[in-house]
Amino acid sequence: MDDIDKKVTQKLKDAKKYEVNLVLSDINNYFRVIKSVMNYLVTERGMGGVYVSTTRPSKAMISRLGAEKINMDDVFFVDSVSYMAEGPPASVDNVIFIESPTMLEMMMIKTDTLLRKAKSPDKFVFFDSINSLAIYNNENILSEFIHVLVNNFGGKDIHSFILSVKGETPKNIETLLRMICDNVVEIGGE
Amino acid sequence: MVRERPKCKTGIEGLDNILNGGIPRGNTVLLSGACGSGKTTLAMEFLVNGAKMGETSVFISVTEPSSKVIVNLRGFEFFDESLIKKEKLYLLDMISLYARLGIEKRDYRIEEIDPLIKIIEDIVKKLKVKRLVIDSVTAICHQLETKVRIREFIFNLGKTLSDAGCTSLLISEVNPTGAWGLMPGITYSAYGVEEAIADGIILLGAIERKGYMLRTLHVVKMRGTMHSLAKHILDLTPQGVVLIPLLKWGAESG
Repeated sequence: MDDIDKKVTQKLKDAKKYEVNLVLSDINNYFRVIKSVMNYLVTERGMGGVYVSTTRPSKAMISRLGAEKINMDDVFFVDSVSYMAEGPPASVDNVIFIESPTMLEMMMIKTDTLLRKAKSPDKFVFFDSINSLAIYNNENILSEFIHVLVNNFGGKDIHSFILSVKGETPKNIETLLRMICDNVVEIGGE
Repeated sequence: MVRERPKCKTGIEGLDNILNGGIPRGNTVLLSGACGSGKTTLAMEFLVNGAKMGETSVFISVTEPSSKVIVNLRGFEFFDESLIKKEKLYLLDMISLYARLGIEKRDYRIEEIDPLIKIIEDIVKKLKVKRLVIDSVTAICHQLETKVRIREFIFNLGKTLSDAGCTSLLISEVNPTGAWGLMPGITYSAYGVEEAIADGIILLGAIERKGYMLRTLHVVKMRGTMHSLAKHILDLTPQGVVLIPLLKWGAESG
């Protein structure tokens, strides 16, 4: 267990259902933070759930997280990157592809669909990441989406985590995230 | 304040909330949209869910054989083929309708419109039908020569179904330029008179957002119930239709 793992475990141990946790990572530790959060949720807590991927293709994340010995069998992906990057992807178990990161409503619909597929009684949603959505969506719609997303996640019997990278997220968006999420967990660059 | 009437639950995720519990029983609703907008899927889910709740449900296909309809339905998880054997769900086409009159038809054209209403009335009464879909009413209206006849047809059909306590969806095919939300001059039907007679209008369309199309649903009118006037995103999934409110800034983000 490295320093990031220890920090994540320490900071996430009090995370509760019906609460939305904002995970703010510095850019240098982006993947290490993801690995640590997923390791904590899946390996330590035995949860299953949905990983919403807007930054890296699901294939890459499944491969990298699998290489970290994280069991991905009960983790389902909503992937809005692959289609745009590579064209129509072949069908993959555990993954729903969305054509574009501008189809924000679809991310919520597909997340709900996949949450029903997760078998674990203890479920999570991990949203990776808000700063990537800012590339494709203007601040107005992104702010509205964050409002809806947080209220949607906060109303569910699940653990919710929204990742954003410090310095890569528009200031107004980060302020909004800090304001409406129940808890803010800063890892790296404190 | 609208006095709420007993509701016919559609069982479609999100739609019953939009309709404050469902479609008022006995309403004749125009389900309008361009091709590919999800009309037939939504209508079939409405029928199948009704059949699962024990209500006799009938689908009348005007333009294609019912065997083709079943093939398409098998792709959806909500479809339960045993409902047909249990005589809760009927999928009929023009050949089977005319067979009830003892007329052998070799194609699917509608040559006599008045007997058609009589056949539908007969089916609704004999089978005690609670839910009915006609796909499409536009194909029938094509056979009628004047707007007056179309108005009469829709009025008589609606009255027949309503008197029998049957909640019905009449599928209306409309021009993509209007229905897909690209033009403000929206039309709900091919002839412009169907919507005036119907008790409700559910419009399926689409919006374009940064080069990608998103399907939408909008309840334009529904007599006998309060309902949302908001546009919703409609997703066609293997599980059926799913609805979620359209992000307000997303309607015009271009």
